[in-house]
Amino acid sequence: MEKVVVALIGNPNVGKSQIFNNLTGGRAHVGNWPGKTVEKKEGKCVHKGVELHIVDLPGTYSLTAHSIDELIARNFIVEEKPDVVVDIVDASNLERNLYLLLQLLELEANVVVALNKWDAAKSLGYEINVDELSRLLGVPVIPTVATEKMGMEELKDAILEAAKRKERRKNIVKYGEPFDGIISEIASILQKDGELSSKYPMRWLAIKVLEADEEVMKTVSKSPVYDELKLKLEEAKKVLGEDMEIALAERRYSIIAETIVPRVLTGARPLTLTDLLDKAFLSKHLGIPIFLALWWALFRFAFDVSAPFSDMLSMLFTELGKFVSSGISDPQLASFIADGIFGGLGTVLSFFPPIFFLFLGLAMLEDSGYLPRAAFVMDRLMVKLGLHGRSFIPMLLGFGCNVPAVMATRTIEKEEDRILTILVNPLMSCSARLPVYLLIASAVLGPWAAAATYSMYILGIALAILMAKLFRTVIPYFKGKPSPLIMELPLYAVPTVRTTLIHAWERGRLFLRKAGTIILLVVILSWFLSNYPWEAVHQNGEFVIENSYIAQLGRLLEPYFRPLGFNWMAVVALFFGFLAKEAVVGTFATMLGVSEEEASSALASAGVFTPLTGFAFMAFTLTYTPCMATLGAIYRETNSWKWTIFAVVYELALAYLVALGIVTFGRLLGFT
Amino acid sequence: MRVRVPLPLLPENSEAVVVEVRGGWGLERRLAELGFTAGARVRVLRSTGPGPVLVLVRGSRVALGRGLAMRILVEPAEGV
Amino acid sequence: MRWLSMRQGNGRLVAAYAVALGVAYLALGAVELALGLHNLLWCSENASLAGIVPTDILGGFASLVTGATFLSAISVLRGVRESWGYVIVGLFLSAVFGVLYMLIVGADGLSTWLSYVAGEGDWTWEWLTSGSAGPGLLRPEIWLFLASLPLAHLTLRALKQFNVLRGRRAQA
Repeated sequence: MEKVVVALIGNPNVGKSQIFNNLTGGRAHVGNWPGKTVEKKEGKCVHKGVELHIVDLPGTYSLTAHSIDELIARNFIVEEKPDVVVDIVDASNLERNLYLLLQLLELEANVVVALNKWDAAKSLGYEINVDELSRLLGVPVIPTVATEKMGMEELKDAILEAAKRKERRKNIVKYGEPFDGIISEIASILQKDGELSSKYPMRWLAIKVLEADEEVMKTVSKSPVYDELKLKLEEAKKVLGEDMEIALAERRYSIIAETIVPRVLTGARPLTLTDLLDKAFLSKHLGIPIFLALWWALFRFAFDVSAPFSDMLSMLFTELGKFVSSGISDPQLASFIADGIFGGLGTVLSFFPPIFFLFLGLAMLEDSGYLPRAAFVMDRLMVKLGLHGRSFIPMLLGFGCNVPAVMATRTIEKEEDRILTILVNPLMSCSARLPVYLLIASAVLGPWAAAATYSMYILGIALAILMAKLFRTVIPYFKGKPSPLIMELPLYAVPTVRTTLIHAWERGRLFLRKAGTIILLVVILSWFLSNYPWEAVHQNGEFVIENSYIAQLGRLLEPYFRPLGFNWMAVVALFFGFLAKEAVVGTFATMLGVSEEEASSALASAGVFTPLTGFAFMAFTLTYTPCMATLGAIYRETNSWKWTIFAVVYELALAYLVALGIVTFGRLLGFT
Repeated sequence: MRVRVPLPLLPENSEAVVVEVRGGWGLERRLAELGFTAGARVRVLRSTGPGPVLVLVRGSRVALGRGLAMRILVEPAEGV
Repeated sequence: MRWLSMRQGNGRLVAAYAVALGVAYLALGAVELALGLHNLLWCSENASLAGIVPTDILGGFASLVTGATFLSAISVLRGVRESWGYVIVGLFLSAVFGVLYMLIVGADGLSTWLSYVAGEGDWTWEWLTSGSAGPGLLRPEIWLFLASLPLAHLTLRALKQFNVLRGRRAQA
């Protein structure tokens, strides 16, 4: 079968994912661009006997060398030379979207324009002359409404036609004098270098040289024609002024605004639904409260509605485990299969429903266009805290689960801001820690239980703010202020069920793959450590955990924790909390030989904690190393062992300090 | 006489034309990409209180940090 | 902008309706919040008003916000067209929480059924009136949401009439 490589590109928020899903049927292969942390999506589609291999390029406003996303998109087009590049243009936002298109034409890519959100443009009162637009730009323009799958067949036809076009039309966009003259002069100099002229489109290269594009200059500086080039550039500066990049940007927009838009676009209604909604969502007084209320709804949705599904999965795997191992005679193997493997799988999968629901809710907020509004109202507060405006999503997600929170930091462009948010995120008390607080608090804190629990959340926020400020001032990497907000607010739209589900499913699946394998491995490890040495632990059908390796480990570490008032049991519980914070409750229950429901009273009577040390333990749980799943996510998002280990170390140290502080301060006040 | 005013100081719902974008290399370029170039027509949608500014430019709504927006100098336009 | 002015008949009805809902939500939210705080600070067991209004600090906060949003629509009697935005967002918030609590009751039902099937408990209908969402289906937010539906209908009609919405898919 004939194969055609098609690249999808466009501004953010134009409906590119929707079109990708429509073309590929929602089946995508997701990976990373080589060497980068940016997601790469590819898919296939067969149309009229031809296989279309579709590559989703990152959404971008421009093709400069200033950001990874842009470079990835640009390099793919220049180096991989896809047969067709589909530029998805938002019809309700035509003027700005044409900017990228002009750059694609400079690149001499084989462009087909998908004029998406045709319905939105119509409802805004716009009339777009598609034929004239196509004529002016020299490329096919196909109106589409991706959300209703309109125009998809025509698009596929246009792609095939464009691919067949042997003679690549060079759509030369004229910038007028003095630009054009200088550009051709530079182009003719570049032409002399055979290597360059065979690899890159000359006019485009010339324009990039003029703009002093970093990547291009790196390549060109090695060329024999470099010296001649430098002279020409000096000349150009005198004519065009210092900043040619900006001058060219202005020129492009002038062309769009003066020669294209007037001939192609008419009409616009004064009032839109978006403006009405923004009145409330961006309101000075109501904006943040509305956001917080919606956030609370998101959590309730993610945790309370998903609960039965989690229970179902746990139960299913427990039963499966019992069933499978009942046929096995060797007790060790049986236990391994039932508790180790199936138990582990059950644990991993029971995480999935709340995380999936969280992503679902988040996807709805995102696809509806609301999320940038939330960023808008939260920006000022975030900046004051030393965090980037967009950090608010991960920070708030962290209250539910730190894993999707860390994954959500992807939308923060600047590396420094992103890593800072990731480092500080685990201090947001995730929902898995709640059972631990409740257990300890109800055991030893009596009437103050509820207040103590709430105080953990506040402590977490306070520590996060403190650490963010501290890192910003002390660690050179983070020095400086967070980058300012520049963000487009898309029109509001009703999200499509299918796209939203696909969105959520993709992210959930990623979590399962990455974090899931780690959790499974660790569960098996802990199974081993708590069940061996086998005979010592399993005496007469009783489960005596004191004799296990894990207990030995606990006793070994106990002296280090004595200043905090934690005994070996607490240490063991903390160790298991490392795999998953929820495991702490189960661990205490196992050690005390009771069921989870009775754990609280058993804990109280066993005297493991005093009110003071119990409170310190809660604080320790809040602060110490993130769980395995989160660590997995951190490694994946930062792509560096350095930062992952740093996260572990600083949190452990911080936890120790905080717990020590609480105990010391308490003792001073007369508590034991 | 040309009156140059930083963007956030305009009253809400007023229109203006961009005259100059000051300072910071990287930011100036990013703003240009989004359409804030000399001669561009903009409308201030939201500018009250502290916090970011919302501007209608080239047919789309763009939110800008206040400090950043202060670097965009505009000339108020007569009539709409 | 006469056509969106709330001074005219239809507009006035919408405004009054919104304000009424606003007051109701504010009252509800205030009570839930107060009960919740009371529980927290004075450490008593879960009190609740007439067994219907739950103690729920953040849920109470959310209802307060919904109420405040609806009430903001009052500014429209001055002829400010944007107040329709407050009405729409108020309706939206009302729907979000109304549906949410219904879903939670459903989840509770599913949980009950699961433990019955696994042999861990008996089948009861308790989950309908008591569970993760407080008094279950009796939760006031659910009823206020249902009460807001006529307002939603009126608003939709008005927006279509004034050409702000066009066609099935609302994209503007």
